[in-house]
Amino acid sequence: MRRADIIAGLVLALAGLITIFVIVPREIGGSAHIGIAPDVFPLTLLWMLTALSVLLFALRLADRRSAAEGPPLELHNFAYIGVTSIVLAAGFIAIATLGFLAGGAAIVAFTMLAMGGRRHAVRVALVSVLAPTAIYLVFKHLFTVFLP
Amino acid sequence: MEAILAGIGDAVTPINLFYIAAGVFTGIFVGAVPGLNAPMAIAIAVPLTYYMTPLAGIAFLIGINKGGTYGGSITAVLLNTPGSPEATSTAFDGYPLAKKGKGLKALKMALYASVFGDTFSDIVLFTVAAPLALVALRMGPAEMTSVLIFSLTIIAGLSGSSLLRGLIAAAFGAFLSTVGLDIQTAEPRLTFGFVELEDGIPIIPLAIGLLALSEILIQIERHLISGGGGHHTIDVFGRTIPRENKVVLWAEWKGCFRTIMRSSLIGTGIGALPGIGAIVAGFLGYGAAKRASKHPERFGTGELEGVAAAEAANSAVTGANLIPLLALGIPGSLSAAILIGAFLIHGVDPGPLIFKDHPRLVYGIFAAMAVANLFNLVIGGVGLRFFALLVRFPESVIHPIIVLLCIAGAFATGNSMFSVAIMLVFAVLGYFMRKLDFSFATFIIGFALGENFEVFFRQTVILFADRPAELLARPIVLAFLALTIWLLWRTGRRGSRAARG
Repeated sequence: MRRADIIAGLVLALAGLITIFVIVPREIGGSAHIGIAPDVFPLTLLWMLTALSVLLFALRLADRRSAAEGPPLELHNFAYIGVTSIVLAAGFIAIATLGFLAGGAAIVAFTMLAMGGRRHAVRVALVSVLAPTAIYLVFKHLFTVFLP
Repeated sequence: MEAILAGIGDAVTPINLFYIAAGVFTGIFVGAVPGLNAPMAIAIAVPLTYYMTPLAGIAFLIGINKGGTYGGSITAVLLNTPGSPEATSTAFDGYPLAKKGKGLKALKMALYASVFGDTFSDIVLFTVAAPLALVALRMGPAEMTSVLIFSLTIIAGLSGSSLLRGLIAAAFGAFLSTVGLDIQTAEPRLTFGFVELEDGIPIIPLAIGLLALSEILIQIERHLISGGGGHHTIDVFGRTIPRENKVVLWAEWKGCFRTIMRSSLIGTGIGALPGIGAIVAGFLGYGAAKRASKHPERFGTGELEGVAAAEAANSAVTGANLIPLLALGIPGSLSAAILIGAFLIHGVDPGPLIFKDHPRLVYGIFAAMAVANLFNLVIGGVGLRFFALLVRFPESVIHPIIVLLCIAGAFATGNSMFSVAIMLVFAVLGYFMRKLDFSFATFIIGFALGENFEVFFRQTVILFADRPAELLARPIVLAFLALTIWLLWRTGRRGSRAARG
C-alpha cells in the first residue's frame, strides 16, 4: 500500500488545505454572537485530517522497504470506475426523466449485458422488465413509496 | 416492570412477529447469496422502515442482522466462500466437512451455535445496558467528549489495517457530518446553495452508497475481469448420504458445548467493545477452541467443533454490539451505525436517555431480539434446503437487481432524486476507499457520531474555555484521554513492528 498511501496522503492533504483556505471561508460564516463560531468544529477536524494526511504521506515516503509494490489502482480500474460513473449518471437521468420502470429496465439490461448476459437474451429481457416492475409495485403497495 | 411487560406485549403482536420473521428471512437470504451481507441489506432496508412503527422497523432490521450472521455460514460451508466476512473462520472446517458428506451436519451445527451465541449475548445486553446507561447519564459533556475521542480512536485502530488511515477516515466522516445548518446559529455550512443539504447529508443514502452499491461495483468489476466463473457447490441433501451425517447427534452437541460457551463469552466481550467486530471474534473463538482442544491437528480438516466455535463467537457479537449504542449512543459496529439512522427517523435518539424516554420501546426491542433468535432457529432449520439453493444464483442476475434496490432505497429516504444522487456520489467514493484500504466502517461511524461529538465538544469549550485546568480534575476525562494516548502509542508501535516484518 506504500504508493497508494503516498498518493492518498498527498491528495487528501491538498484537498484539506483547499477546503480550509478556500471552501470554508466561502461556505461557513466565521462569527457568532454567543458561544462558538460555526466554523470552529469543521476547521478543527479539517486541520486534523490534513495533519494526519501529511503524516501518512511522510511516513510512507520514508519507508522504502515496500517500494517494489504495484499500485492498488491501475489504469483499467480508473477506466472502469470512469465508465461506471457515466453509466450511473445516465441511469440517474433516465430514471429522473423517463421514470423508474423505463430507467430501471435500462440499467438492469445494461448491467446484465456487461456481465456477459449476451448468451441469455431471454433472461436479460425478462429480468429487465420483471425486476423494476416488482420493485416498483412492492414499494408502492407495501411501503407506500411512489418511485418516479 | 410495567414498561417491560408492555414492551414484551408490543413485540409479540402478529404484525411485529411478521416483521421480525421477515427480517430474519431476509437476513439469512442475503447472507446465503454470495457477495451480499447483512449491513448492506440493513442499509437498503432502513428507508422502508419509515412506514412501520418504531418497534416494527427496528425489530425488522435487527432480524436482518441476526439472520445475516448465520446466513453467511451457508456459503462458507457449501462453497468455501464466506457469504459474509465474519463467516470466514466457519469455512475452515465447514467446507472440509461438506466435502466429507457432512455438509448438512455442519450447517445445522452452525445454526445451533449461532443461535446459542446470539441468545447468550442478548442476555448480557439485557442485563448490562440499563445499568451502564445510568452511569453514562452522570457524565457531563467533557466526559462524553473524551469517551467519543477514545471510541473513535479504538474504532480507527482496530477496524482497518492502519491506524493512520482509520483516523483519517473517522475525521473525514465526522467532518462531513458538519454539513447543514449550524446547531447554534442555524447558519448554513458547506451546503453550496442546495436547500436539500440544510438538514445535513442524510446517513441512509450515504450508507447505501458506501456499503451496498460500492461493494456491488467492486464485485461487478471482479466479475468482468475474471469472466465470472461459476461456483461449484456440494450437494448436502443427497439420499445416499447416511442420516448420521445429516444431523447433529446429542453426543456431538454435548462435546461442543464447552466450546460454544467459550466462544459466546469471547464474542460478547468483543462485541461490547466498539470497532472490533464479528470477523475478529470468529477468528478468536476458533483459535481458542483449537488451543483448548485435545486434537488441535484435526482443526481445518473437518472438525465440527471448529464450526461451532466460529459461529458462536461471530453471532455473539450481534447483541453485545448494541450495548455501547444503547448505553452510550456509540455504535459498536457498522450495523449499529446504520441502526442509529433507523432510530433517528423514528424520532428516537439512541443513547443513555433512551431508557428514560422510551423504556417501552427498549424492552420491546429486547423482546423482539429474543423472538428473532427463535425465528432464526426455526426459519434457518426449515428453510435450509431453500437457502442452500440460493448459493447457485447467478451474479449477473443478482447484482443488477441490487443496483436497482439501492436506487429505490435511496429514493425512499427523502422521496427525491437528490438522495439518489448522494447515494451515487458515495458509491464512487466507497469504491476508492475500498481500493485504497480506507476503512469505510470507520468513516460511517465517524459520520454517525459527528453531530453528537460536535455538541459535546462545543459544550465543553463553552464550559471550560476560561478555566481549562478544571478539566484535569475530572477523573473520567483524564482516564479516557490517557487510554486514547496509550492506544495510539500501542497501535502505532504494533504497526511499525509489523511494517518491519
